[in-house]
Amino acid sequence: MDVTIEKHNSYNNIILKGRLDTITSIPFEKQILALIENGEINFLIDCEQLNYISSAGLRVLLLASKKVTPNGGKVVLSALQDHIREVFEISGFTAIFKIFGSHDEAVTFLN
Amino acid sequence: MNNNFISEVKNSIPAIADCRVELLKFGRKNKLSKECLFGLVLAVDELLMNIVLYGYKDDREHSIFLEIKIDGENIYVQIVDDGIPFNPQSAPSPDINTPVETRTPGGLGIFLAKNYVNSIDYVFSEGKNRLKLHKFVC
Repeated sequence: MDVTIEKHNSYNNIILKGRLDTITSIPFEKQILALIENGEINFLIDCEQLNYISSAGLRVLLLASKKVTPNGGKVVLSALQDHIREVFEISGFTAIFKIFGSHDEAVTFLN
Repeated sequence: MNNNFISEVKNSIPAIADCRVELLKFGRKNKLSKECLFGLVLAVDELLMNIVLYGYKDDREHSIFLEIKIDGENIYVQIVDDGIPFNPQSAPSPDINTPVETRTPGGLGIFLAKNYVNSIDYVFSEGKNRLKLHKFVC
């Protein structure tokens, strides 16, 4: 699992590559919570190369969203593979997160 | 073709992750589609993780028995553990229609596991949880 964080003016771009499972969710949670502690409120999670997600990964995204929403922030996702999108649909997370087909659409929304 | 997967998995998070890698290899060898294998692996991952995280009240090492058989259009999974009695069928479903402010992540793993299999049978006998899953090859 690789997590790449790119800081932009109005949002943080987080590229997830590989598997977001019980093990890899732990460092990812620390990274995103540290950014929120530093006052960051908008996150674009680029999921194009995310191959696997379990409930542990969903939990971190939910936690981040719950922390930034009261401050007017957003966690949005882009480019989910079909099987990953299905996990979000089953979990009811498509009602919680804005999900964009492409990275560019998500960037347009955040700007 | 070897269409049987048997493993004694230790009750540790890394052991479950290793098991998932082996299960992926097994599924690919048996030509399961990417979607089918993803669902199978996710269901097994969530159920095993639940046992490891909540099933034991001591610090001892335990073994969880996992068997997967692919028979034509059917996938049969057996999970046997000596943790506290827990029937996933009776686990409450999360309220998936709750807004983000009040949504809690509890119960999501079991809920996902149930969604990716076609049936779950559970019995507790001889001091062990015995879970049987059936999933159609898809």
